[in-house]
Amino acid sequence: MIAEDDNVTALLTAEVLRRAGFAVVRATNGESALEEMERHRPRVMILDINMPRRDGLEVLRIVRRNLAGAQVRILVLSGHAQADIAERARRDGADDYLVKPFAPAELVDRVRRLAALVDDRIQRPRDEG
Amino acid sequence: MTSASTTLLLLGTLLLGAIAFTSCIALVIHHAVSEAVRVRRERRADEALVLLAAAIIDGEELCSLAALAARRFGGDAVGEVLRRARNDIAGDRAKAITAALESIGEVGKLQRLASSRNTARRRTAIRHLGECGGDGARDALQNALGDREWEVRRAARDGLLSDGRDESIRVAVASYVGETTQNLGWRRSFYARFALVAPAQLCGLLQRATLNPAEEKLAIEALGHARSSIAIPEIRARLTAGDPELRASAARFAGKLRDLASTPSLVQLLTDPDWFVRAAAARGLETLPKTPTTLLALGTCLTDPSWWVRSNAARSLSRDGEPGFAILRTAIAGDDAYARDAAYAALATLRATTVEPNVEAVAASPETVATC
Repeated sequence: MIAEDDNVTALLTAEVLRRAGFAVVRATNGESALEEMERHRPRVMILDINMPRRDGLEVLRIVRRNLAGAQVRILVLSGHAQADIAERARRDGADDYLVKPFAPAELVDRVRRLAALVDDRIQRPRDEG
Repeated sequence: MTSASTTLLLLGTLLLGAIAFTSCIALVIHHAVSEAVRVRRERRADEALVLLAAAIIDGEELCSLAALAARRFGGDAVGEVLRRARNDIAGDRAKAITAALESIGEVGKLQRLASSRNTARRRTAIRHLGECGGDGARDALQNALGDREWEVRRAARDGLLSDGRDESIRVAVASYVGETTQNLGWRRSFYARFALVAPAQLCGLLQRATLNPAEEKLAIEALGHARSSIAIPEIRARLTAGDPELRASAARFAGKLRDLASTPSLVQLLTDPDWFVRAAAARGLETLPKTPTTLLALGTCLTDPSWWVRSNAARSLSRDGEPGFAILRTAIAGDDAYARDAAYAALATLRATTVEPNVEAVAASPETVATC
């Protein structure tokens, strides 16, 4: 899932991920990000910091407090001017942080790694059961 | 006479009213037209983006598709989409986007606008050229460094820093050094961008010792804020600088970057003749693991003549668990009222933020309560 208000970034990110075989859902603001998360239960959420109606950090905190959000892995995507936000995002529960501009292969690599972590967590209790 | 004056007054009022009314109408029309143009441009950009997205990510036909999109949706819309895409995408695809921007004539158009008489137009063109990349844009940015308006020169420097090539950065730095119109906010923002887009080059500049202490201080602060770990050797080297402000900045950011090897130097700086250096060293030690020597030195700082030094030392001690708490408790039980206040304030802050689970116990220990 991509939570991003900027059309260009959202569409390009979605295109990169679709080509890598991921199904992508998009939200254009913080509140719709929370709604879409509840509806689709994505494995990985790519979250922009500057969004209307709840910014990325607020969404991050809400998702982390929410039980349903415990499964989702979150990658924060932001411009280099906000590199200092990386630490805050990590503190608030982000699993990874990617600064724009990014190489498409790197984005795919990181999303794959995060998705694998979720799959692993889901698989393990099943195996144990 | 009175009647003539009244008539004149009435006519004047009517005239003013008519002018005000016409101006309001003109403003409303202008706003509506601008809004319509903006919405249309955005819609065209969105349509162009849909057409180009796949080729931007991975495709050899980006130039030909961009030309097609420019014919269909207009060069401005396609130029905007490609510039914004270049802000997001790095590596080889960024080069392909630059080639597409050049092929649709966007760079050429911006180069022409960069020599406009209108300052705002020149500044916008230069800012957009900074997003295009490539040799053509870089040449235009270099030319703009000689612009008569500081805003344009500043946009050109930012663009050259973002370009990231050694030569571009060298030219941007030379222009910055020769800039006559400067203030602190400007200088900070220059180094902040420099540290974020090219930290290695900024470290190289520090290594060559070509900057004066005031500029070195700004560079160190920018690298520290950007959490650039490659700057650690340069920051460490400046812990013994002759300039006290530079020493203080180095002390603060050595701690922020968690440079363990700088601990002995920071401990030495706790006895620096300048209070702000001592305060920065005490603050810098907050995030670093503390040896008994460090704890002892921080404990001594609780009786420093400067409030900032006492406060920072107490704060550092309070972040270190039981060994730090023990020193703070001793200060609370001691005779020095200043040390007691600093220690108590640090413990109270801890209690408010509940950083440590045993803070309540520390602050409310029988010894503390009995003394206070």
